[in-house]
Amino acid sequence: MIDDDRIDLSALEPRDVAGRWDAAVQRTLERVEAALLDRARGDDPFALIARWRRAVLAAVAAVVVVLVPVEWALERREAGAERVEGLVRLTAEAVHGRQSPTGAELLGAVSPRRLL
Amino acid sequence: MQGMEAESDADLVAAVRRGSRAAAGRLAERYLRACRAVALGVVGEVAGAEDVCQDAFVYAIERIDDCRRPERFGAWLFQITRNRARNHVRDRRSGRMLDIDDVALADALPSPAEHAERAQLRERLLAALAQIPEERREVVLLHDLEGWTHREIAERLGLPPGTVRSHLHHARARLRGILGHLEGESE
Repeated sequence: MIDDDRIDLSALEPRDVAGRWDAAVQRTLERVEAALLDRARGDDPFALIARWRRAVLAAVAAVVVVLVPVEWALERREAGAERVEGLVRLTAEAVHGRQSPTGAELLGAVSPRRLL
Repeated sequence: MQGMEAESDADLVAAVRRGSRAAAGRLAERYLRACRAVALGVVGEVAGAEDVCQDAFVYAIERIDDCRRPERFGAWLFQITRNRARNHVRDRRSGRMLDIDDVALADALPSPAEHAERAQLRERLLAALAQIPEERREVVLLHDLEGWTHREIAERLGLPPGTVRSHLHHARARLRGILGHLEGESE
């Protein structure tokens, strides 16, 4: 279909300068060939890492998303266990005839981190 | 470029992933000139656009595994080209590049008079193109310089066909206005 409304942009034509565009295409194809040879070798560990980087990043992100809350929950649980342990120790000492625990000791037992 | 090719972009991308140089060559045949037109729309000078389109195409082949929609290889390649072209313009503005366009062209053309005339025409066209929005510029270059059909542009740029027609219409009207104005000024 002939389009009469077309703007004449032929001065921007790649082949406006003889041989120049063909040379550019040739150079591109040579670089492409080299890139494909690099891909074919495939034994370069950096290339392998680069090829898998998207998957590796996604896996790392997933691990971080799972581990951070788990670590937080474990820390909370550990703190709870320390409190129980402190209370048990104070109770055992009181039962074995020592004096009754003071308010400060009880407070320290239920919030051990504050005393650290 | 007339009509749609027998091998789809997805077939060619799959073949390139298997290492086919012939398929990469077919993609270059199909897209390299258009890539240059897209780069030219951003860079605004021929030598820079040619450097950008080569780099963008080679980069696309190197990263062919990252092309998530092989059937839309063209749109992906053009986006790479636009990004690289913008980087090129930024580098040029910051003085990291030498504009060798005129030197290279002067070496290759037959006579100084012809060179001067073509260079002047090219300058006028590029100056006029610089005054229209990038998307319209791209459409008019792909259609009027590269000979792509409305359908090809729509499919490969991911635009509705009506938008392509509208961009083309407005780009041409604006270019005619600017070029007419420039002609009036030079007389």
